[in-house]
Amino acid sequence: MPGPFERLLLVGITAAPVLMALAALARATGHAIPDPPGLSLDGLGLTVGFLVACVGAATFRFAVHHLEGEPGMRRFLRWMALTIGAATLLSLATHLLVFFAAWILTSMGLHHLLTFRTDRPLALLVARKKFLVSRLGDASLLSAIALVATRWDTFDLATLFARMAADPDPARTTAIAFLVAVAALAKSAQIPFHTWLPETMEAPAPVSALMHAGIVNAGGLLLLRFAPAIEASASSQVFLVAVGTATFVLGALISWTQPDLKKALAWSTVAQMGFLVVECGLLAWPLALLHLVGHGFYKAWAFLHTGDIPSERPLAHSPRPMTDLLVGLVVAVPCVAAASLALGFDPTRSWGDLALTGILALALSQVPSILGGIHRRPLASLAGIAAGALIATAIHVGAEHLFGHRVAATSSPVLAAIAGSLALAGAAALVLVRANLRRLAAHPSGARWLVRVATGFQITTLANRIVERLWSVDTPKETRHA
Amino acid sequence: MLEGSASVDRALAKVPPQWGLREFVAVNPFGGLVERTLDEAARDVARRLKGQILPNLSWYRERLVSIPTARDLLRTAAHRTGTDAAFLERIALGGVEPASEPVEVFLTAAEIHDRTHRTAWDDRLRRHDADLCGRWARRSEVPWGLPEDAGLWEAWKLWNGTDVALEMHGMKGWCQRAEALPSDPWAALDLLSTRSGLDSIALESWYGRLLGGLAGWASWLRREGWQAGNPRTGHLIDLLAIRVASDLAVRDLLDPSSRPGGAAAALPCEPFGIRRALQEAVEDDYFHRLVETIEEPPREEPSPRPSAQAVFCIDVRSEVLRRHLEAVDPSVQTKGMAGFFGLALDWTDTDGPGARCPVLLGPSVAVGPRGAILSTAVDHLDSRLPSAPVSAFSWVETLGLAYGLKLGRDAVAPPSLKDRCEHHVALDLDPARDPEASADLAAGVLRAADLDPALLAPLVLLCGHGSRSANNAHAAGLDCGACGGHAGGLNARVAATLLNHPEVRRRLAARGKAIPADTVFLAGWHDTSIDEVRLLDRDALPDRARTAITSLEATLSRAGERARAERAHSLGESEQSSGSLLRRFDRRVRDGAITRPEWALAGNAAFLVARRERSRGRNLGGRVFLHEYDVSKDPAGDLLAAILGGPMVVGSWINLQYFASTVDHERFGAGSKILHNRVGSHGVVMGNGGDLMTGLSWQSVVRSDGTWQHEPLRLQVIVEATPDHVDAVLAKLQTASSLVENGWVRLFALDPERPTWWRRLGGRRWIPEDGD
Repeated sequence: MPGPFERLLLVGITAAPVLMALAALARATGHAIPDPPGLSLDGLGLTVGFLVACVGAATFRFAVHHLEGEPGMRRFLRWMALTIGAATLLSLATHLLVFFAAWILTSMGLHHLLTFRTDRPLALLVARKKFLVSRLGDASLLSAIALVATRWDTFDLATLFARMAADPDPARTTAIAFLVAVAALAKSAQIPFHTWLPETMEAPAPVSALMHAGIVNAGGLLLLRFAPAIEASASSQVFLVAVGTATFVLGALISWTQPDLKKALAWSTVAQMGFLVVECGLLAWPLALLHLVGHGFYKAWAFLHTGDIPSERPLAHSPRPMTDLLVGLVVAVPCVAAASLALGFDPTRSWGDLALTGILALALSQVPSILGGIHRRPLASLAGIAAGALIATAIHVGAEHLFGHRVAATSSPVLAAIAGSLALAGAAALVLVRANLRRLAAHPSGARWLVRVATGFQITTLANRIVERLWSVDTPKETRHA
Repeated sequence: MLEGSASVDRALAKVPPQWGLREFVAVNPFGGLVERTLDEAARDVARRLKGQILPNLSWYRERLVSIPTARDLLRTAAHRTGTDAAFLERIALGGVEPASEPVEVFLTAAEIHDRTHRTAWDDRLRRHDADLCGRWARRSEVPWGLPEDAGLWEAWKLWNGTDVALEMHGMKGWCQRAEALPSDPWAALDLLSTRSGLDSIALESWYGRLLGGLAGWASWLRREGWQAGNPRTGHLIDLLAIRVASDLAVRDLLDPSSRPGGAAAALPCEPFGIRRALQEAVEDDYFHRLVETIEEPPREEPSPRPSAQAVFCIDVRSEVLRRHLEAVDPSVQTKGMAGFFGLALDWTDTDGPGARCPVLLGPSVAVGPRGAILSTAVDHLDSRLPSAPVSAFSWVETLGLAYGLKLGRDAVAPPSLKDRCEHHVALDLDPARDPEASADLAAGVLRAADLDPALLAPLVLLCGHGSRSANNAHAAGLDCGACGGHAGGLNARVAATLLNHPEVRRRLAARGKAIPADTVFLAGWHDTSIDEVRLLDRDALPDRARTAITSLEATLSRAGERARAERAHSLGESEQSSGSLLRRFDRRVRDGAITRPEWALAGNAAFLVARRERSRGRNLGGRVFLHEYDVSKDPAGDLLAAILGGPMVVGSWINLQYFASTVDHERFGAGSKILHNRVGSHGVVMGNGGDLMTGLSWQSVVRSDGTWQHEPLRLQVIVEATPDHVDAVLAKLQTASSLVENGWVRLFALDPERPTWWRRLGGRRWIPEDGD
């Protein structure tokens, strides 16, 4: 049973989202709250902080009940509280040393949660793999901070970007953007740093919920914090989009092949994080923030419901997915255009916006197939696409109003165009593969492609071999034999 | 034909079947061994699975030390089992450690290699093959799966021709070898077995160890053959071929000196005979207390013509509610029969398993909803959006925030759980379509529940049972096993419809079983998670029954309050005013974080086949299955044969599942729920993967303080009939008599006339039991 200290922690953790909401309310109504040292109660910080605090409170409460009777439960709850606290701190931190300390602390806390069950040898291997990837990210972030401090003589982000604008240093800014990008990719399980995330199922469900909703997206948070540096470096944008696109394509494909629920969810997180990175690379900051928060809430909920078995009633599959796709696309493109026009959103203002609008149309083109085929539910399909276009655009416009949008001066239109096309091509490829899966399965080499994709092109095996070499792992004991 | 194919058959037959999560019924984990004695089976389980059937000595010692009559119990048990009484007592109470009886375990090639090279090939190969089983099981359910028409072996070959992971780990030539094997699993098994160079005895040990290494998937695959009555049916043979191919690869590709069976390991085991004798002693203690309770004079006399009758399932959870129901209103009479009411229904609405009857039977009566229940556009969006290409990204941006609200609601006030649609939809059921068959079914209900048509009460409740809990992959395991792991409300509804139908009643009258015109049958179900009975189809009943129904409803609700108060302590809820207890119980089961929504059948220990008079007004502690039986109405023994061959066998499955999951959780249990990872609706694996888990989860048998909620006692079957009558019936039943003869259940006869008890021993001997 949890002791009085753990109960106190529960009270504190439950109060955090309320405090965040109050601070946001005060800020929105024009009441100035002094920033605590090293932190900022700005829009970005409060938004991510609210997400992390909510997810933290929900998962901690869940864990208190879920782990009842589990050996080491109290120790577990303390580490969990520490991790939640560190992640909340991280979301508000704008002093780079505070940020870095919270960044490390989150990672260390998570390490303890992932190795909670010492009788599960695989948990150890994965935790070590994650440990190595995280330290790589730490080194990268620390180098970026060093580059900042030695040139602009500050650890405060606002001061940094003001000085950077007044006293630009493009080469150093590019280096910082790349270092920050690498740190973010390592944190957010992007290719080729992704293999640890789907293997963390040796930890209890609330840890997965917390990690997928409040910790892996810290990579996105880092990019959002360093937005001005990334805006200044077109090559770093292409880099982010390239890695993000590869990640979301691979993550989605692999998630479609997973037989067990938690791994399917984990690979979908990989894909979602890939898309978040793409949005950052395309400089769609408000959308990225929306994605970070929306995905966080959804994934936390999903991980806390993995025991629920869905309804027995079978959902019919569409017999002609390509027709559905084409009809869907033909309807979606004008709908998205009309919605943009009606809501005063100009998709052509940048390559990134154009690409993301195209991706929205591709997303909406899936509605007929999701509903079981255009022939089965023609009206619902059309209505779904139209409503989806309107709601998604409205939310996008709303987010830009709320979080503020700035159109960055593009230093290289060619690179921006390349980045946009890359992301759009990736999304189109996913949609096309999905519509042709049955045809692929019938093809003689279809099964070979299934194996290649499902095994993640053996990147996981390779990564495990490397970790085993670097960090000799004890022989895993048999888990089921006496 | 394959050399040593008898070895294959024997190895396959030892694997017990396992059902999926939608119909998670209890299975006897020793189902393939009931033809052997408990001692032989215990050695086999140690050899094949490195598992234990009986608890360790430490448990018996702890248990016996708290029993004042322990010495007497030990002496009797020693005498009965032919053990040295003084030696037994020194072990049990004197702390003497008997010599271990090591069992020789056949080692696979991978195990031998691991032992000499400190590697983990056995674990790696088992995980590798388990992963493929999961992919094969879900091949048509995931968006991108293995070819639907491929058999398991074919899929394995297909997969391993391309998957180079094992080659990267050092097993060079794996892919080529997998591709080169014959595409027929029997041919491959034949070829590999010949190449192994093992004789037929060694082959059987090897097969047993290999299937034991993936016991969960083997059980899942065994189900098809079990239902067909032929172990070769289905794909278990494919799994054997896979395991054989994987293990022999260790010898052929890694290390020629690691031959299967090239070495053996001695597994230290505490002596089987001693533990068997101690088990007897502990069970005698329980049995004596049970006899005392049953011999107590009843607290109140039932009224001659009951105001209402209520038929419940034999499930041990019914005992609690029935006791309180009769105590709250002594004019109510309760009865017990298998909760599917003898109706082997096939619910035709779902794509999944539709059988609503014990898995021992095949469904024979098709019932569906009137009109199809269509999935809505919202159902589609809800289940498909998260995995739809690209839409998944836009969707979390658009609707993700709504999940924040759901997350908050779950924490503060979790939503109420939906009732099953089959409890409420209009049924496509017309008894007049085949009135004769309908009358047969209706008569069967009356007979099995020992309801005398002439003496029926004006209101008869047919009460199935089910359970509701959130975020519980094994929720079906809390439902009615007699209904194939579903809630019993549907069967109750159908039974009530039949018995209320005028044409059916006319036919019954013609058979001399006239139901009084004023008698009404009412369907309901006992929600065991919160101990509430919900009445179904009450609006379809005539107005004159209204008052009686309202009154019964009030009685049921008060009985439910008492049942909750009785259970509260074991669930860690403090007893409060009963109204708030209902709220707290309800809050509990809606909370997805809770891993122990109810204790289900934990604690089950006895099966009483007798008239309710023998148990009415006595507190049996929710540990006893109660089946109605009046031997005076069954001179030929047909009814008893039906009870011992059906419900008793199922009761022993349940009993042995709880037994095994408690005693050797590592081997037979499903592990802790906190690491469960669902493979569709087929089962769960732990964490990242590995074998499918079998049996009950840790939280289903162990309390949060680490002590056992379930006490591992074999089922004490008590029949109210003379030993001769029981013997005559048992002689006709193969499975039931094996269970009795080999010590998987203990059988007692209770003389219907006198308070005389008989104990059945091996070799069909009966001895009088003095009761203390």
